[in-house]
Amino acid sequence: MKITGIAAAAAANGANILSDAALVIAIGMIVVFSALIVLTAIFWIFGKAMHKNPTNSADIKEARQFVPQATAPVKQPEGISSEVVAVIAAAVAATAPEGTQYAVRSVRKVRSTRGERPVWAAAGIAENTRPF
Amino acid sequence: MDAIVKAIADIWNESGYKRLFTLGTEGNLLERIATGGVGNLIMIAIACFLIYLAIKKEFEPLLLLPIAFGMLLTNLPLGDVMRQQFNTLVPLTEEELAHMQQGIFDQVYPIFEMNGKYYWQHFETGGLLWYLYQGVKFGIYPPLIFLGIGAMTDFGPLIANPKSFLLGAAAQLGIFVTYFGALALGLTGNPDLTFTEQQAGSIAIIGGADGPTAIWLTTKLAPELLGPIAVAAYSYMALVPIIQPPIMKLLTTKKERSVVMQQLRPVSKTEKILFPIFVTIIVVLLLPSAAPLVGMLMLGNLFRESGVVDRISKTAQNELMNIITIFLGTTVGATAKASTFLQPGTLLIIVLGLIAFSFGTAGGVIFGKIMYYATGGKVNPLIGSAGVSAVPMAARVSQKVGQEENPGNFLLMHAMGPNVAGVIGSAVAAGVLLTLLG
Repeated sequence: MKITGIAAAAAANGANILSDAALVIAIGMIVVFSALIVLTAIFWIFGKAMHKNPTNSADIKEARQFVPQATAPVKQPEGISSEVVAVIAAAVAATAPEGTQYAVRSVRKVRSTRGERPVWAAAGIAENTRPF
Repeated sequence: MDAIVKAIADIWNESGYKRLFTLGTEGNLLERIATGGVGNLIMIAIACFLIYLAIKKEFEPLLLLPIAFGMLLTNLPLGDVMRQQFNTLVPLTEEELAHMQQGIFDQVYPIFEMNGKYYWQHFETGGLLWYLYQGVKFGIYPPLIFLGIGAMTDFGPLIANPKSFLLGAAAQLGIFVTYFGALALGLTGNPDLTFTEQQAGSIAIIGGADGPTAIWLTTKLAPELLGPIAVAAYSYMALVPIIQPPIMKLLTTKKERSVVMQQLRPVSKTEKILFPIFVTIIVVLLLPSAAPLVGMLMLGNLFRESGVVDRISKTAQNELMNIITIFLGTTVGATAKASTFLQPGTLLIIVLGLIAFSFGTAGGVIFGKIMYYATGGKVNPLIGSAGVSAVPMAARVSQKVGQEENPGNFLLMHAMGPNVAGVIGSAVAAGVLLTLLG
């Protein structure tokens, strides 16, 4: 009787442990899902609002890719390759203020007059002496 | 000549070499090995093997290398790198007492009076790694790691497809299933297979595949298991590309794996800035115990997305992250002493950790299948496996398995959504376990 009693007590204890563990599983998954469902709903609604509200278009524009307009071919003299034109266009884009609309129409090599420094040399000197 | 021999003998007797080939004095053979120098020797070999895995095989080297070296340092006998600081009270002798009454103090230590008797308060400094370990013990380092992770993470794919949150939640199933399994093992009556609720919770969190979360929760629930749990957690994170694909292929059909998902919508800067604020408020109000992890994760992300604290964001991603990684890894590894690591329970922890991880993967994939059917075939179930927190490895695995079926299929950004959602999900799950079991 005593052994049976001990075995029964052990079984009851085991059942308690498993039922408590099952409760932890249920509570845990419910809480995790609840928190993330709420976040899902909030950001779904927010996403809809961002795309629906025209006053937010400024934020949306920032995320859109720029699609360049088709322009006439750039006039370039002999001796200047297309790659050089592309580099010059990129340099202009990098230094132009944000939102500036422009198009490169032609490229002309600037010849330095007798006695003047070449343009690149002048730019280098200006860069190095700027702090002074 | 005798003096030289005696000096050499003294050096030998006080060195760690002599202790290396000894056994402990109490318990069965395994216990005597674990507590003796032979146990240290075994742990040194294991540490060298982990160093090999980290360097040669590149298994999560950023963490496994400091963990392995910390394990090596702590198991070199008499090195005492993890010796605890302590004070002892040594009673004053009659002569010292007489001197004290004359204003003469024979020792440099302060005197402590208790119940009319006087004691020297001897102070013994702790080991280097013990002091650094206090950051782990007080739960400081893991949240700081999360700060760096938040600063490095782009939550854009998650914001663009909020349903990914649900996949991140489903992948936490492995944690709770393993918790149940760890407790069920105790019903066998074998004391080596019996874990307390707190220990079971610490083992189960391995299934979240999130190292800092596992360490943070273990230090609060079962610090005695920190060594094996940390080694298991980081090893499984490195084994993601090996463990996940068979489970993913078992639970999905070729047709499901070939689904090409719609391109994600653009996400605005405003959404990215509001995301960490909203997540912090909602999650921490629901589960205050998750505040350190979720709060630091979102703070780091806000640093990144605000665009006005670039210096701080860079520091969080680089210098702070690297420093904390060194301290955390080395000190966690140093907790893996032979006496605590060489137990039957350690092997069981490693097996249970694998079960947790596998169930987490399965939970995410199964929920992915549910979403596949619910959306009429628009969601690829493979991205569900990325709901475990191993960022970005789990997302890469989804991409790789998807490309095996359809070479033109790019699932990486779609999988990043559940992947980063899993980081939040595992932090929430840890908060739940701490609330219920702490």
